[in-house]
Amino acid sequence: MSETKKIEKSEIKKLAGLSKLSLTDAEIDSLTGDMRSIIAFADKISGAAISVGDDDYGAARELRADTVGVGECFTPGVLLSNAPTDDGAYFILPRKCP
Amino acid sequence: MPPRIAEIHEKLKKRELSAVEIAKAYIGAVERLNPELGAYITLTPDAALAGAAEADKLIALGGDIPPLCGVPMTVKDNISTKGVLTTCGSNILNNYYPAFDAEAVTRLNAAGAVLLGKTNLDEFAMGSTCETSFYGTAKNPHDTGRVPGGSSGGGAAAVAAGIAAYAIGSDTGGSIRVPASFCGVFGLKPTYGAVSRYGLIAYASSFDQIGVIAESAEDAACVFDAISGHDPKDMTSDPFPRGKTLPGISDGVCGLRIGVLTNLFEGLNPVIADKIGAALGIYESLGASVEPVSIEQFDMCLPVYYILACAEASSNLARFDGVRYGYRAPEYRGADEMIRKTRSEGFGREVKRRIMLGNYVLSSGYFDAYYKKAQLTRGAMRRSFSAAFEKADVIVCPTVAVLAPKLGDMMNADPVEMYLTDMCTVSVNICGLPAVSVPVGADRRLPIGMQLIGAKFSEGLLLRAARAFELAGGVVLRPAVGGDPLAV
Amino acid sequence: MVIGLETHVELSTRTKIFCSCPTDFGGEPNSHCCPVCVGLPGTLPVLNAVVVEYAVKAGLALGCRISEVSKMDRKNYVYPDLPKAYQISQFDMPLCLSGLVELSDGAAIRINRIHIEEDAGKLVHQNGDYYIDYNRGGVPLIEIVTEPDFRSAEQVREYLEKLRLIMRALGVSDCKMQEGSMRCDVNISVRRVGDERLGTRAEIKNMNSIAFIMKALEYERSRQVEAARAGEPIAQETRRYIESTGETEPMRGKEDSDDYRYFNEPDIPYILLTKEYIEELRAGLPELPDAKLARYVSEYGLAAKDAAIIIRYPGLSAYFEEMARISGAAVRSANAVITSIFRRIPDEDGRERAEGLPPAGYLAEAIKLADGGGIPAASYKGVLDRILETGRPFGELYSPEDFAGIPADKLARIAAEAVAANASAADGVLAGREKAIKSLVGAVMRATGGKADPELAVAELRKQIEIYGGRKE
Repeated sequence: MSETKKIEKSEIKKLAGLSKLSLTDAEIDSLTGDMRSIIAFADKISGAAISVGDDDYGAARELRADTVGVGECFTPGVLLSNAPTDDGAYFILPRKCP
Repeated sequence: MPPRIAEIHEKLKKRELSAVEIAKAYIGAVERLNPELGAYITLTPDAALAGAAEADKLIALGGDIPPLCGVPMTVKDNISTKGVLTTCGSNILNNYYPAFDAEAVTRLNAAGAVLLGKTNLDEFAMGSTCETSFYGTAKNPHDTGRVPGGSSGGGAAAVAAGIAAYAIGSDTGGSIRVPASFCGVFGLKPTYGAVSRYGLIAYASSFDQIGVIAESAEDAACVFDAISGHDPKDMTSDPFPRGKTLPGISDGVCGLRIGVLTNLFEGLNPVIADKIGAALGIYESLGASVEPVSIEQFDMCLPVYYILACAEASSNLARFDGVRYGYRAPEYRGADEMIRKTRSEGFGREVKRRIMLGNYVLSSGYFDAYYKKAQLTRGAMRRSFSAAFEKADVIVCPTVAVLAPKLGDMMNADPVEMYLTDMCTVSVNICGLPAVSVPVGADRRLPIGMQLIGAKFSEGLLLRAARAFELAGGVVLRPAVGGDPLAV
Repeated sequence: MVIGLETHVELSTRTKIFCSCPTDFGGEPNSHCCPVCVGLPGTLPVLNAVVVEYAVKAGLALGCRISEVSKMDRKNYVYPDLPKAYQISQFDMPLCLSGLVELSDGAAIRINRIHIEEDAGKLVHQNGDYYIDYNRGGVPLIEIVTEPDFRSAEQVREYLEKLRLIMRALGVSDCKMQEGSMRCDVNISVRRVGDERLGTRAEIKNMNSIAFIMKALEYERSRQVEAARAGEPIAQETRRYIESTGETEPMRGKEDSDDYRYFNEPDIPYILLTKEYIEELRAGLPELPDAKLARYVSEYGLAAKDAAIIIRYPGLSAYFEEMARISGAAVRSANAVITSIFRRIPDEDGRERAEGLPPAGYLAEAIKLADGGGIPAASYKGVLDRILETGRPFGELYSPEDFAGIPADKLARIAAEAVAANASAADGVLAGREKAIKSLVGAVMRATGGKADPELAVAELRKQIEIYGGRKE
């Protein structure tokens, strides 16, 4: 980024959408200010010298064997235990709030 | 002074106290002091007593008592504990009870650990002062008008105040070392991959590590030895067997090559510089050599960290949407609105900022300029540190360049102000290296920490150097709040 | 018409790609799940070795270059069937690159890449609410992407059938489109003949039937050509096929055009494959359809068309080869499969299962006998049918006299008797109603206990009918 462009409210709104956040107008205002500061801070990276060294791919790992887990059995009941809505079998996402 | 693991172990071995008596003493201390300190989010006295009873049974059998058996401890609230509320300091998990234990917790349970409760933290480990928690701020036991540091503030406060013998926490950019430094205790962030991340609720996956906050270098070594080692449930965990760190811990530092990280001494707070200088003098008198080292592009470490960590965080936190677990917004029309409202009502401000920054640097159009550039710079920093470790065995610098701020100071400042707290610590996470924070003194009762950084998998060496200073340095820090729960 | 395909193939490993949950089809909702595939906080993916193995085999079979270094990436988007709000896939360093599939018309379909990824769970709508089952979540997929090298719907069909055959020969997937283990996204555009540039393409997603794909392609072609001729712009969009009408319609637009924000999956290290590993897999590949077809033509002397039909069914191919080996008559054996066995098993599923057949030796024996003249040509088909029906060998069903035939004078007498007893039928034949001879043939067969040669019987009957006709006059 050769020159720091100040991020606009419209971009903040788009970013909020991508982040799946609902922001009030007041929040958008204050966040815009915050984000401008934070992005300016992140923009310092533009001053970094581009360097390419040897790729370090790490050590080769042994991958997992294809055998069905014999350890703990996770029943639907256990997996659903924290679900806000379920019927004992499915996770339920109600279209309308109850 | 709060007792160390070895002291508790002695009392158990000599049958001076039973594990249940010890647990009761700690539970009482927690009940008395936590309201003021805010170190704990959830207390688990029943689990603690049950664990202690098990420990007593084992002890009654005679034979060797494992070192951590019957020792009361705590777990940071972003680490999964089966059946015990795990909130990550966030409203969005205010009702989340994990169905499984983190691997580190499993190993500590097997070692006979006694769980006193879950400790307070910055929300989703994002913060350096423990003030972004939804469950109130923890306080620094040396001055309760000041922060304990973050994000593992609750754990450090508990250990410093003697309401836990040790704590396990997580460190992504300094989250164990900073609070250890502010609270005057030892904090170890292991090499990336040394401790399994399974069960640690992820903030930034290529930076996160579970580590230890403890009263002494030996205690840190003891706990590290119990939790480290390969875990097949975590592909990033180190596949190679490494030696234990406790056995050689008193071997001293004769011949140790210490590199002083000059990048961090420019314009440093003179009291802090002074204390570290004194520590280096002690190391020299013990037979170590001291030389300056410098890391190229060190001033890029904070932008690199925030770009990459927030990118990973934006992805890791995308799953919190009220569908499968956690908080769900009570009022909404349609699934999409439910998800947005849940997240907006469930997340605090700092978390929202970091998620947005993460999505910003990953979005098409910005990816190359930010994320890719930061990745390349990360690689360069790794190479720079590797080169430095050819000339030095241990690199020394301050853990934090400031003293513990007053409560509220950081929250009212520009968000970037808080980020600067991590200046000394983030490069360690960027490069996946181990580091330990060692108390070196205080300025008007506010503790100061010295950071020892090592090459990958050199925890043994680091803890040895930490212990050497501990024995020779004569640093004694008494907290204003707390003390020895076992003192008669 | 210019077409490109992205085919998702479910790998038939025992466990999911990132956890040890079983991949079995069906089962109670959320009963094949664990914290990892439900994406509970704090869980981590652990890559299944056999997924990599199967993907490499698929790549080798399609002529791809296998990457010695590849990695996983996160594809970030929010949808309730995706528990982590990202799919672990491969973006810029896939496992396989640059392959080729040749079609019977000489067309060469270039494979751009093959990569591995995880499947999402299943979302069902009930009373307007979402019901989510994560059993399918984490099932391993390979995505096979072609260049836009197809020029006709027929080519698409042939490619998909060949792909299915190859995957099944390798044993890496059963490719059952109706069960969802093979799904296709079809990209189609049109351009003027001779034009070099590609037109704007439309994408039809998640097609799970070759018949529907053919219909959709036909509909799209006309739609796009009509639009192009009328000068209307063709939108680059995602469309859905409507089964009831055979048409496609634009999918309700997603609100944010998805920015997937790909970045490397930090929980999974680089996938490093040695040359030895790759070559070992290559050496262990089974005979692939192209090679098999060539072998059937050169070794067995089959016509390419017939060979192509048989190799579609690996079970029947093996059966054929066994028949050919025992009987020494490959072409006859092939015909037996294509006529008698196919007639007996008319459906695709049955042919694939190739169940309930007698030992190949039984049919081979009959073939050998027929070759040696021990079974008359006219009876041959009936013998094969009977062996298939009863599952018993020739020796148990027939005795030597059965094919000794009827002496000519006896046949003439029986034929004459039949004509005399069925004058009306004889009249019918004389009047030109050929069908009328059937009842006479039936009578002769009954009178000879089925042992008369039907052709000879017909010939003799005609003689007798003529004599009868001559007498009438």
